[in-house]
Amino acid sequence: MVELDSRVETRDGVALVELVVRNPTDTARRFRVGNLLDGPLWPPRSRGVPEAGWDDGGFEGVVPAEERRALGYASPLSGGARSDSLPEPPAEIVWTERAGETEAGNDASFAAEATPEGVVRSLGDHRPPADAVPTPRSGDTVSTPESGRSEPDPRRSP
Amino acid sequence: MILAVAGGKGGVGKSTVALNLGARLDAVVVDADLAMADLAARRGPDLHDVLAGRADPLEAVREEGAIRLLPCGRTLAGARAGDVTALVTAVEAVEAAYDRVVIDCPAGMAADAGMPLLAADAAVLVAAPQEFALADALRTRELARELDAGLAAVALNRTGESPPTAEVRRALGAPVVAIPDDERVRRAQRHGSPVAELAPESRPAGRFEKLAEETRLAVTTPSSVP
Repeated sequence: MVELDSRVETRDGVALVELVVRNPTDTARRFRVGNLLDGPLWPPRSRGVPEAGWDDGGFEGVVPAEERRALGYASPLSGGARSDSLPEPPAEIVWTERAGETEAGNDASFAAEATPEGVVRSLGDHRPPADAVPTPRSGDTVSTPESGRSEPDPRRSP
Repeated sequence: MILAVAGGKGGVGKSTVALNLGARLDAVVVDADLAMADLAARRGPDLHDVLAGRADPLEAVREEGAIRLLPCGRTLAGARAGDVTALVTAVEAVEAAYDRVVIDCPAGMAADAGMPLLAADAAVLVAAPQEFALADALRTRELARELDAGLAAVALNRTGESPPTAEVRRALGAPVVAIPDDERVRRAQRHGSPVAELAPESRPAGRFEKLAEETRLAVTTPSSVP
């Protein structure tokens, strides 16, 4: 069956969770890891969207036969929570099942996942770099046509 | 029906084809060129506002011009602030209200170019007649295929005498419509109008009608869309 090793480190009020999922069996296995910490789960992101496999509660993916898979996420500590009062372990294997033969360990291609997030993951960020965007001068305002009010233009916020 | 007007290369006339095709198909043209908007619009909410969650897609559609248009903002800050993943639901909302949508795609192969293809039922590729421009068209066709937007037609834009229609058809495997280089197309475009408005009997106007026919045919007979 699939085994889970975990380690938690806290820094600036955020718990950083390191997980290693080991599969000692001779077949690939699909698994789900669930977060046990109280705070919300902050998944690893690339290009502005969560990496494939992550959702609000944890991660689903495949670990190949006799291989390991390393995972990590962060979670802010709720007010007053101390690092030594965190649940141990911070995450658990919720379920595992035998994976299909064609399922690879890494599922980041949008051929398998034609969703808006999948497109961003596969093709990359199109946005102009932050440095290219002019910063607002103090007191810059625009009027919105709907309201006629004058308010800072959110588009000009850094 | 959602149609993406795409073509990896910039400057081949995607916006012109989108506008003229949109007029022929009586569609809403969505300017999805987030960082280099091309289809002019007056004030009011635009696609940047929609993608940033500040405006409803339907209130950003302008109906006062020669064509119905969902314009895009022109600021870099706006291009950065919007969430491109919201494009699909925005375009689907416009389709639900207006039935037909033509998306003017940005150049390149980044997420902003892929997202319209994900939203679209079919794609029209715009290519320049030069041989080197075909490589970009081929890459975009592959992307469209992976994202399930079959190739409806190819617009071979700004052609001169004897355009290489047969060669392009062989390379891309879809009906090719050559659109001749014509000053009237550019003049109409500058005013945000299709060429048929300025010169209804002109040859380019007839070619855009042909492109619209090929597109309708491909979309209504799904078997011809790979």
